[in-house]
Amino acid sequence: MSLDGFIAGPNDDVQHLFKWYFAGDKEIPVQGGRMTLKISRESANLIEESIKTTGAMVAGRHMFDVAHAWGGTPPFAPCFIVTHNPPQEWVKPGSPFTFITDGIESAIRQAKQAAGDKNVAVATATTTQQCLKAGLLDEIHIDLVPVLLGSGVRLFDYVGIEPIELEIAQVIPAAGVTHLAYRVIK
Amino acid sequence: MGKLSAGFTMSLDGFIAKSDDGIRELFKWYFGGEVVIPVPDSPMVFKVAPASAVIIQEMLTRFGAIITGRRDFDVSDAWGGKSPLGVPIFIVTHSIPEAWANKESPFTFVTDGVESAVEQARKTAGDKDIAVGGTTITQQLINLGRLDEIHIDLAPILLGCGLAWLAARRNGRDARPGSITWANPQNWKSRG
Repeated sequence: MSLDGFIAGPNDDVQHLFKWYFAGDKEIPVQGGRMTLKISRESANLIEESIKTTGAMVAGRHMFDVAHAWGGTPPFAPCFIVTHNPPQEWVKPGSPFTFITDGIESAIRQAKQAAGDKNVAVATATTTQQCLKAGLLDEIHIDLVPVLLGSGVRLFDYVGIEPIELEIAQVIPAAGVTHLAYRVIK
Repeated sequence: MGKLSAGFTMSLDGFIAKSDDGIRELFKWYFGGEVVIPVPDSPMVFKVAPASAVIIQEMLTRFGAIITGRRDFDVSDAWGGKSPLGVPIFIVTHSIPEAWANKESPFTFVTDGVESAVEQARKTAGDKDIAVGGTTITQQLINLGRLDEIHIDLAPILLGCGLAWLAARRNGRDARPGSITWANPQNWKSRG
């Protein structure tokens, strides 16, 4: 997220936000080896930790489309996509994607079941906002990037008008990014 | 020459006050710690964590002038009739409030724009830094390429709505991305 609260610029541009993925010297292959991140030791520790502790992912349809279905290799599998309209080419045996048409609560329930004792990663702005409003979110992890984007996709739009209190869990400065973690107080 | 330095306590979703200008939830960190810091020229005291105390002490001494906007002036009730931090304060406005237009007024009202306010503030501040307050003043200085520093005290709360810092940029009036650099990230302390 940029310091002014955007997780993508106009036209879903992420070039400024994702600079930190290539600002270090520790190489981490992602997306089945099709891309290699180069990040700092501090960032790498966090990413390795999240890979170990995450057992499923929930995301929105917009991100699914923008990321071109992550080339069939989502950041975390199984991957539950909340949508009104499942893309038929990915509804098939062995697909890493499950399309949920009956709402966010159903998506979280199914993802938790699939993840077992592990965590469920919630990606994308709309999905995060829906989870926050439904009281489903336990933690918020922000990679805060030193840039002002001015416009784009705001992470915390439409979360309601009642304050939601958080508790600081972690602050880790790293190359080109500050990793923040909060617990949602319920 | 001193630096132009904007500072805000901000919620994680980017607000520096609630819709009713309330700041109670945001300013909890000023009153939740063990180090007592008297507020200059006021019966009030801050009670903050040791790491915050270092930052507040620096803030209380480094500035030679303040530039802010009319809204800040109105919302704070003219800070009780005294400049905060006890240094000269320049308020950018289109109309000077009559009650404070007299010669003995502790406030200087600047009606010919933010750059004039910077010029006047620099003269008084000398080599000391200049504190910048107010969202639109900060915005204008960013757009002019004049701002040197941004200090954010990020409060662990989502307000949902309220006064957004950098509201103008959010409306897309200036969508040019601006790169900023973290200052002394090694000073950040991990908590948890």
